[in-house]
Amino acid sequence: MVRRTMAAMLSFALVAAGCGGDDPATDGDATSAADGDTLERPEGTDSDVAGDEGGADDGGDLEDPDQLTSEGEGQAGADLTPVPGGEVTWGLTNDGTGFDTTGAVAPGSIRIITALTDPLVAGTPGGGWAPNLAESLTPNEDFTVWTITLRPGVRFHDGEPVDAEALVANLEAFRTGPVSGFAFTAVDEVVAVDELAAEVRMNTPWGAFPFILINQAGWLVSPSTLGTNDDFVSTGPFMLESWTPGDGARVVRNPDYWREGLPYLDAINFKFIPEQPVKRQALEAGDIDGYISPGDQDILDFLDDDGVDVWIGEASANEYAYILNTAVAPTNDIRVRRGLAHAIDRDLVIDTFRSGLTEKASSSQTPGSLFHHETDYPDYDPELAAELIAEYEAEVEPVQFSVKLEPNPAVREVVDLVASFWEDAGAEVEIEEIGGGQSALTAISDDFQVFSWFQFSSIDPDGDYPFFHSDGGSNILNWSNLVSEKIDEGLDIGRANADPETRRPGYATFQEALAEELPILWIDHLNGIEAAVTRPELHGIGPRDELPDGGEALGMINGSFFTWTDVWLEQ
Amino acid sequence: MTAAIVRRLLRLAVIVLIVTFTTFLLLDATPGDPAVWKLGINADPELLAQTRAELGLDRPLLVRYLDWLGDAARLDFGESFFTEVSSWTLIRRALPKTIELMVLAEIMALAISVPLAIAAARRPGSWIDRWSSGSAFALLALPAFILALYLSYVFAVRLGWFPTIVTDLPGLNEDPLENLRQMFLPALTLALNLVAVYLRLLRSDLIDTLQEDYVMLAQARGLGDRRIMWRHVLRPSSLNLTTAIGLNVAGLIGGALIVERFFAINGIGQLLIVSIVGKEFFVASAIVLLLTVAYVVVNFCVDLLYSVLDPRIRSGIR
Amino acid sequence: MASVSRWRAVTPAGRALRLGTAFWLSVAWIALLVFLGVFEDVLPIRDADARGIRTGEVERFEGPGWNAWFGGGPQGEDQLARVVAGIRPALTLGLVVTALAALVGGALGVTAGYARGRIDAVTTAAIDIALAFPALVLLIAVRSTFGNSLLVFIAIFTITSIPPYARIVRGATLALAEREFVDAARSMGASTRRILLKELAPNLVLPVLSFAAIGFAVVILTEGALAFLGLSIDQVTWGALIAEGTGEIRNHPHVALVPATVMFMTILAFNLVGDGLRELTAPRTVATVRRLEVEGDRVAPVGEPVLHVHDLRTTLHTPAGPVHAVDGVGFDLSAGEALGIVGESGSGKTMVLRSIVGAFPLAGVTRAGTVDVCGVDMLRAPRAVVQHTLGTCVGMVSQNPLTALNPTRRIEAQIVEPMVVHGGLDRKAARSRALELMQHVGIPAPERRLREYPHQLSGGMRQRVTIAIALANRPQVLLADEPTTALDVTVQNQILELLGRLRREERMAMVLVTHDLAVVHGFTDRVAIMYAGQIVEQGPTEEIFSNPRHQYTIALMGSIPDLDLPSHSRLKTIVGSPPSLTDLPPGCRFAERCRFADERCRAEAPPATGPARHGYRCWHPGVEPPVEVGRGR
Repeated sequence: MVRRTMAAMLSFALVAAGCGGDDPATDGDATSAADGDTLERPEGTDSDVAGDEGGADDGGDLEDPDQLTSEGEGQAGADLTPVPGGEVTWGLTNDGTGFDTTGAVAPGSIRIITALTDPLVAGTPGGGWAPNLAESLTPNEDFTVWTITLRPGVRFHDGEPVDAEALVANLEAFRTGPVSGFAFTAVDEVVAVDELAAEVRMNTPWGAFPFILINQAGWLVSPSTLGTNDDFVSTGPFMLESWTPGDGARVVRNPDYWREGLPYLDAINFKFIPEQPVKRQALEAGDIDGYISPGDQDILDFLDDDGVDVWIGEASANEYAYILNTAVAPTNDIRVRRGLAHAIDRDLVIDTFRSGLTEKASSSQTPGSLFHHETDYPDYDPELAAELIAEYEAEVEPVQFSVKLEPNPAVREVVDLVASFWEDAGAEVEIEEIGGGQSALTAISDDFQVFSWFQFSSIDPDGDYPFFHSDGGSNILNWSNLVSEKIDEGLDIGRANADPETRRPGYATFQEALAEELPILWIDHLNGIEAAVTRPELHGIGPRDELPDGGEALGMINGSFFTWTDVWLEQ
Repeated sequence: MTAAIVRRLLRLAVIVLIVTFTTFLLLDATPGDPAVWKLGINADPELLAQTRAELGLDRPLLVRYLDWLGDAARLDFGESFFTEVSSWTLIRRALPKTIELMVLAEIMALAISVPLAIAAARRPGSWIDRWSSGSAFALLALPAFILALYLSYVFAVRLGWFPTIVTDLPGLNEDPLENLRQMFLPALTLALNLVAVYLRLLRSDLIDTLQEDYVMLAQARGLGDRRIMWRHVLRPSSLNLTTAIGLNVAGLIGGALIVERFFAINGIGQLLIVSIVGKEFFVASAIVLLLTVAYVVVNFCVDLLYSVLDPRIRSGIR
Repeated sequence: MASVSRWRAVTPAGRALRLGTAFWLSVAWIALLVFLGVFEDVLPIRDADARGIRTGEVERFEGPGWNAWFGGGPQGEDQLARVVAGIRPALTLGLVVTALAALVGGALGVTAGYARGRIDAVTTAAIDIALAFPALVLLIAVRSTFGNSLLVFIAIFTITSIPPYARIVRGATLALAEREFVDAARSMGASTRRILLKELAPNLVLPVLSFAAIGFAVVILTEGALAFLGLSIDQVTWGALIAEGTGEIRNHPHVALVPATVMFMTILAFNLVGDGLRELTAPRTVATVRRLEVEGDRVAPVGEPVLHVHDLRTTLHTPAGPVHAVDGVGFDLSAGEALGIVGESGSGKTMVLRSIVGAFPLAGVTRAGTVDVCGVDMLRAPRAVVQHTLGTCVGMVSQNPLTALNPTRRIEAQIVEPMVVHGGLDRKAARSRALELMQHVGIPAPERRLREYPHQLSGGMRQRVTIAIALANRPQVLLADEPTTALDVTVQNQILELLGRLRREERMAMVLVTHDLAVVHGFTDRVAIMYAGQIVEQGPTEEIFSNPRHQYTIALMGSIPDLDLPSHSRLKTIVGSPPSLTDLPPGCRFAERCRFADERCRAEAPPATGPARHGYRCWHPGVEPPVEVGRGR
């Protein structure tokens, strides 16, 4: 749909706050804690979230992305040999605000950074991780110490060596950074143990630690440039040539890139194009080579278009949801929460605003993910909803509450529809946009009853820890204020172990408790409408990348890890 | 003459003071805290306070304003809270494009509206009069964002004559053709909304002037219509048009904002709105200062132009 | 005064103005909008907030059709219902803001422009501040503080709209305040308020109305742009609907285009109605040379007069119907001969001159009959020939030297122009001839004067300049339209002497139009008395004065022209007023005011009678020398 303008503008401000426009999760700390994905948030979510058309596929989870490309490029160059050279212009939905790796990095900046850096760790299909810039990561017995070993001979863009000293400087800066530090509260110190290795020492077992190094925490910059906002001197395939706030950036090939023969492209021009229809026409006119589509409409329209390839994401993205404040009436009563949950026809929301491309959510884990657990999360049942509401009203008082949302027209449409469900169930709903320029995060930390929310999801469910663990009620990021032993217990088990078989029951408990207590009403997983649309001449954008040591990593469109290393242009 | 200039400068100074202070006041009144945005909400209060102090947000508004003013007097307009880029750098990057956009748009609007107004004024009520004012109104009544999309679709996507977005704009002195090729559609979009206003103003003033005795006498002297129109009528009829152009300087920024968004131009319009929404006191005030000076200077030029156009003003009769 | 009379006068009786189909269609459209806006709640249309996806009545993006006339929106909303729901905010915002801003801005502008001095300085500075300040900043700040209700928007829009109105009105006031009629009112001791209300306000209504039409459009459009930015009112508006449809414009164009069309038609309708109303208050159709039409054949002159006019009939086609301004006028003029044309204001005497040169301030003129100048058929000859003849053979001096010269061009350019265009002189030769002419018409220090602009000259000097221009190409005919009326008495005589001298020296034929019999006497060889578009009596000057035959002439002789009266005031000594030129009586046109009028006078038009050298149109020609016919003052 439309009207992203303001949304995009706001995202600038909010994002600066730490990513928040739509996904609140994002504030610097919060997010980081959220997991590897941390500070990033998928581009364009603000803008779009709405779309149309119906026809969801089976909830079967990972769709084969190849099916979704409009032509036979599915295997990302299976029968085509990459050739070096060429320049690409890439459309950005959000503007960048700079490159300070210890601050909150805006989505627009992250899109640029992905061409400039290699994170220490990469996410792999199926929900695992693999070393990337790091040669290896090894934990001790109880996951309280992780040893990170670097590859020899790697240098930053300015020629400085990538050694243990630089690693410690970066991780320490992240740990002590005012904004980023929250994600590293479990880390006590980072200590170099030899030329190329450093130990990360925890105050508590942290089996999922490597996941956080997939993103911001895992970016290494030349120590002399740590904390600078207007430059980014890292290790990646491209080097920052120029950056103009409000316009974009130009990056050029790193001739001394540590991976032989890579990258292929000579340069990438990132161009900030706030208006969705303009991005689209620019792609059609050949003025840009691709962009991350912020909505379902492009996917639908371009699927049948031989002139455009579409790559749909399969893994971690945001979930759209409503946070219920369990500390105030009427949402402190489980009957009300349950009634509101039953009232929402999520299929209709998905058909209407996502063209049926997304899946219903019952937790932050997509149905295909390793830790997904089937729960009996309340489904659409208007009669039951009305009954529950009526019961509460009979006993206590009329159900009246306000739903807060950021002033984003696209989100507003969804909230309007959801509110109409709630009103049908007998509630009296007031919709309240938070003031222009006010951060969603600020707003939610104030009094609220119901808040329209984008929950930042992560490859690993440990990312949910900061948002749902009550910490005995002291965790301010636990927005719903719910204190639940089951939830805390489940999350603790997941954090303290590395073996999936041990962690799975913990997360099962967690997800069951969520479905019972309903501190948050899930709508859908948004990964189905996050896609890259590109000109067919551009290859290597797909869902998978190749790891330096062989094997597959999650590619550009799958959540946060997004690399330009092996992208090439047909000449 | 000197006294007049001094008086004008004084007045400019007063206007600048009021306008920039108002900007501070208004931005201060909007909700939100740049420190919170910068740090994220989980930042602990101490850090927030520290950041506020760093950004200077802890001090009273008036002190902040006077500080900024003092710096501004030394041409230091502060820097953006978020990008930490100096206001001046941001403006310097954005300004040339916006100025070019506005100047091109004015030229295009005049190039379209003046001949149409003349044709219409020569034969009021004729088909050309009806059609020109009808189409001009159609263009006026069409929101710029629709216009931008359609122009872009037809001339960029379908015909491929112009690009859909402005990227890597070469300077007018480096590659004027490519520069104009990129700026053509944005400027046209902005211009088309102006045509109706200019056309209407000029047409009615032309008609007024056409009724003057001296025009009748010029006809009686056997001078040709064209000569009468261009030599006798156009100049005395262009005062209101000139005023409108001068007044438009501030107004065009609003129009430029939309056009800039739709052609991905990082101009002043975009910078301004991002700065307002982000409570960027320094950047916003610097832009407002700049716009004010531009407005006053342009209108000073308009006044000068007046006296060129109408000698009576020169000698203070009007 | 000229421009005032242009606006105020010439509204012919009846005001039977045809406003045209477009106007009435526009009125109908606005009426429809108002009706829908007022009764939207009781009309059988769907709820604007109802979502088709829930009710099942309208599909998402359903095309326009029987089910939903304007199609369906993104959630299956009935677009018709939403467009109707957008009427109230649009009209309220547009009209209230425009009205408030025009009133407040107008008041500020008038005060500043009229009071001048300190009040003006402060107001202008305030206007400048307001105009220089980006409205967007104000809007975002105010909106985030006070919310986005319609009321807040009306306030913001009004505040930001006031300055342009104030500035325009101030400018207009400054210009008007210098006009003679305001000065006149002031000198007559009228109170400030009275001047503002009675004299200024009516003349300011037009520019304000004209600006308001655009202003209304701008308000509605700005709301649309704000809606697009997500900064608009918290209700369904057309702007919001269009903005919502923008992203769908490729797949479902109707979502944006239908409300855009409605908005467009509304803006257009208000402008057309505004234009129509303006026409009503100030009907004017305007000079267009091309609309000059010619009827009938040429009648060749007898002998070789320099100027030959025969049965000239000039009809002005005005919105109020055809005006027979000149109705069968004829006269011949030989070299060196002077003809005086005398008549009241509106008798058509000026029109005779304009008909000769073919320059009219009004659109749609038909001329019939014959006008030969220097042997050229001025009605039927090719355009270029006519223009050349005008440039070389005819000179014209008009009534008001203040308006006869182009204020924006130097004297030199204006004198030289006809010589360069028609006289075949180069610039240098033209300049020396111009100097010569300036001396000839008695302008001291001509070198300096040539470089000056008209406003730097006194009225008498300006008239000398217009005479110099008229003489530029040594014309054989000089047409002088009340050349002295606007000048003060001493200058009048100088100008008359100058004209007399020139006529003798250059042996020019001259037509002198005046209402001043004293001017005619002793200056002209012959006199034609005009009444209601006709020459009612024509003969040698001495004979007309000594033996007037037409009762009107007789009455005229009895009235003493009063030099103190403004030029166009009627000769009050004759009771009554001339008939309307749009509705002429069948009989004698003077019958209504004539003491001797009888049945025949009222029924039958008197033919031209009398000897060739002294003709008249009267059933009861006077025989006695005129003594005390008029009653004096």
